[in-house]
Amino acid sequence: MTHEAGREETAESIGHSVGSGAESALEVARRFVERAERTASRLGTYLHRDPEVTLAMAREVDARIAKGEKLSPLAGVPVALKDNLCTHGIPTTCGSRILEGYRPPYDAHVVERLRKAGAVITGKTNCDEFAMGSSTENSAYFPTRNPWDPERVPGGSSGGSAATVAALEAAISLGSDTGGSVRQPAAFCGVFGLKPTYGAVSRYGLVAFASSLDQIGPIARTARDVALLYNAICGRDVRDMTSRAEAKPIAVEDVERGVKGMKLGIPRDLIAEGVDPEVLASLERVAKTLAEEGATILDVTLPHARYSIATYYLIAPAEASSNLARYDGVRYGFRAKGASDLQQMYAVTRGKGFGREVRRRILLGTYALSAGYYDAYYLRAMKVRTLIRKDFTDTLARADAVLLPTTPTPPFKLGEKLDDPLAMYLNDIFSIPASLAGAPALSFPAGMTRSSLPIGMQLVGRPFDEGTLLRVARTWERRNTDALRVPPIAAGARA
Amino acid sequence: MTDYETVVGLEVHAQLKTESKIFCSCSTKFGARPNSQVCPVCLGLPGALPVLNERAVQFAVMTGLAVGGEIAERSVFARKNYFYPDLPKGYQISQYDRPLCAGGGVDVHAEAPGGGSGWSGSSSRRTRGSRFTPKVARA
Repeated sequence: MTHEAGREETAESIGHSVGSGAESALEVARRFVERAERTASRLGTYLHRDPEVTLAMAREVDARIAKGEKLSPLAGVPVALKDNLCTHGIPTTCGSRILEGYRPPYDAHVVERLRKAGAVITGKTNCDEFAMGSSTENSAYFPTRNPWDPERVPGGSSGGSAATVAALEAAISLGSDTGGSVRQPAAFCGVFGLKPTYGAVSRYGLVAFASSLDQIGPIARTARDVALLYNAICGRDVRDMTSRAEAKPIAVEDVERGVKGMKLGIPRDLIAEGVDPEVLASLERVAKTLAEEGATILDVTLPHARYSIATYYLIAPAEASSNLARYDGVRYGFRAKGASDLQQMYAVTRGKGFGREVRRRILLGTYALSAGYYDAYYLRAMKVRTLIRKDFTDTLARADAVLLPTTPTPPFKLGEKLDDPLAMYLNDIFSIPASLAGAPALSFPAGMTRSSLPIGMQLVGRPFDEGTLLRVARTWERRNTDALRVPPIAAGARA
Repeated sequence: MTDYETVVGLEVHAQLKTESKIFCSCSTKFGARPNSQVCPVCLGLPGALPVLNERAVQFAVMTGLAVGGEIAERSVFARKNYFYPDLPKGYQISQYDRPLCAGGGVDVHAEAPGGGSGWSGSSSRRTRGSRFTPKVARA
């Protein structure tokens, strides 16, 4: 048995072979559908997967190519979508009972772009309910399992999107990142995950969790694939007032330019406590390799980053409490039966339709925003957020990027932190600061623990400088070809 | 009664003559087929985002200037959250402490019933020749 099945199969290589006619989009789609048939139900990667729809999309791409239409580098590339991205006529539940059976009458901006590019949708991936969680155990339907060790979590909230790429059920995927929900699962599943700069990608059609933090981000198995997917979705869209024209596609050749002369800062003050020794060892290995490649490694400080979790757990729930008000049982989705009046219908619908974590955050947020508490909580948190953003502005005036682990530990076991919300929240200590700052941040695979669990390292950069992050990660990737490893569950399933 | 002062506030709503709605591109044309001028944004569907109509802002500023109000350099929209079946998002998009315009006024002169002495009032802080001191109340 080999672990090499599909190893070299990247979005880039698929796009080339479909574009050049060496392989049809349908052949590619069949291969990915077959893999998903073997592993998806064991891993719990998808909430909605319809091979007929996937194969029909692939046939359509082949027809467009046959007509001579010039498609993008993603033509025929199988892409998975997190279930909080609206897909026309395809269920979109956000992993929640309250949206069970809901089929949007429109496509999200990113979905529109991907369809136009000729990408083929493999399905809607499992996630923590409304993107609230770090393990995908908060899905109302079933948990997702880590392809590297099915007893462990894939991270969250975009756990399905990361696991499906790691298991080669899709070549690339989209997740959403509010406090680390693309980067942390990417780290846990041994793949790349980018949270673009706030404003780089239109959120039209992304079901909102915390509007001042949410970003849609690509997940892929190579740095170059991240660039290809980012290029397909970035830039100004008139339907999202926060989207910006400064977000420009990245030239894939530029990703190869190396790190010579670059300055990378390590915030040692933040990493001082509670970090797994194998994660720390990996950080040192990455720093050493990048120094050998010509980068200068600096010590930097992010003095306010240690307040990130407290700040985030006021701002994000406050915004969520308002964003989730529309799920009231009146127009679509779940409605509790048997209520005798309107107030009771609202109460029972929302009490039963939302899971524990979502209810907890709605309560936290409503409390933090209520009259008399606003100044003490939300407003104060916004001030601390400004200080955290300034930490990054100051640091990134001296360094081209900040290097730190994506998570303090390798993937934990299912159930391990489920009854301890605070322990779960603390897992996001390294990813939340960049979210609060609105800065771009990339998690890349940085080796394995002795027990074969993935470790992820993170780079945080200047606004709209995603390209630099990919250059640094690509430099490490070139020196460590094991980045394209395939987990046993995917390799073992080979025909 | 002399201890009391009568203060009457008016909340005036006006439909603006814009081609499209205030937060989406749906037409405002009167008399079209039912449900033909709605979209995910004005239905408040999951994932939809509002985009402010530039023309509506221009009209608001023009109104503010016409009544001698102050136009804000920086204005903020706020959500007014409450549950009601006719409120698809669970909140109204409104303005709270930083509206587009504030102040200004329209003078009103009228005969008192029974032909007594006339009274005049204004919604403005400025008063011209009135023996009353108008109060500005927030609706």
